[in-house]
Amino acid sequence: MAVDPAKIENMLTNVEELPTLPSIIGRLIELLNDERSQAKQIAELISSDQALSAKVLKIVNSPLYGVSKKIGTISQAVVILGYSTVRSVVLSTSVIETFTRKDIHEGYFNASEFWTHAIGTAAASRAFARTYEVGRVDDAFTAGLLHGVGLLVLDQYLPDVMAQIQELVELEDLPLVEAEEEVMGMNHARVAARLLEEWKLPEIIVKAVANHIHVDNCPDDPQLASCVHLGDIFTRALGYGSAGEPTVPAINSAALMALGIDHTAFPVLIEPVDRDIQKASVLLEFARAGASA
Amino acid sequence: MKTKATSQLVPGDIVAQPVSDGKGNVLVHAGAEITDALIRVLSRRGVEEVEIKEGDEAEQEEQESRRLELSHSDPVTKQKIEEMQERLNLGFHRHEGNVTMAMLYKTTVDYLTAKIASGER
Repeated sequence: MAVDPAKIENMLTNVEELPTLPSIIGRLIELLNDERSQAKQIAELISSDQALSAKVLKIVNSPLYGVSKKIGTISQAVVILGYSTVRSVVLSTSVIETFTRKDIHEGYFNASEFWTHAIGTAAASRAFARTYEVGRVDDAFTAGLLHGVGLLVLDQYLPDVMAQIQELVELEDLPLVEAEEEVMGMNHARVAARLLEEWKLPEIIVKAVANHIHVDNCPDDPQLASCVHLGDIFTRALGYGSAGEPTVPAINSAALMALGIDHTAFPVLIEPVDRDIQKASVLLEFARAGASA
Repeated sequence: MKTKATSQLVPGDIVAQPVSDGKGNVLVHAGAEITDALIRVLSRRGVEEVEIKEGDEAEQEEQESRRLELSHSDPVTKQKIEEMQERLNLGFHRHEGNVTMAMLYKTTVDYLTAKIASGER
């Protein structure tokens, strides 16, 4: 039975318990989005949370960022890697922690499988952004990590809607997105974008997440969404985690056009993309630690 | 097998006979896949034509190579490769006739088969 899209929007607007990021992250996003903020202010704020500092340092020193010399303090991390990378790292740890908290019940999705796919997509999206010189590689990573959080919101807050969707996927072999659009008149990318707007994430990330399924919907700035689109599909093909359905969606030709490539590039791309996914495994430790806490 | 002018090559063609330059140096081995970069190299080196495998022939050899790879594997490796192929067959079952997805399927199967066979996965 179809649900009125307005009802879903209304529910999302009024769900008081929509996941919230820790308050320190809200302040950090404000600082990181403010061009007038100084590295010192950002470093001081992160350093005031010891647990967060330790996580950030572990990630920036992991193969994911490939720094040659060990980064010992948050100040160094901000100076050496830049605002954009630190924002990406802080957000990644915080979002994973928020969604793997003990009070978040496990619905249809297995947390470990979900985050394995999300982290893989983040790394693969970053690899596409870097390879095709889209720029904004950290935004590609963040958007890739968050591309599926709409599924977690549905699973957590609208479980009856999610059950209807999964019934269509499992019993009628419908692609997940088609099932979502049939049941609620929108897909999980729209739900995710709604949450990210609430979190006041930069518009460029919100748009990339919102359009990563139907890339042809954002002709004015399709490159970042295209990186996430291809990152998602390559991660599924390579078999990292679960995206909520066993099938791999078709690649939208608009994504290939936006990056100026065609399918003959795939044999060259697959190995570096896979290598980058493996380098991001440090983030999986946080997902697993949260899920088992 | 058929002869194709270098200008008529398209990415994805499979080389049937080794291609050599005028000095006898092998430029491309048999079985190599033609890419845009390779077409440019061949043109620059003055190669005018290349022996290319026919579609069915290339596909049959590829399947035979996979069969051989499987038959030489230990049972655990063989099972992993079969499970991977089963997962991908299910994952791609909606995309028959889609050239882009066919390339992604083939690329992934080849890459993961090599990775499993080398013990990396």
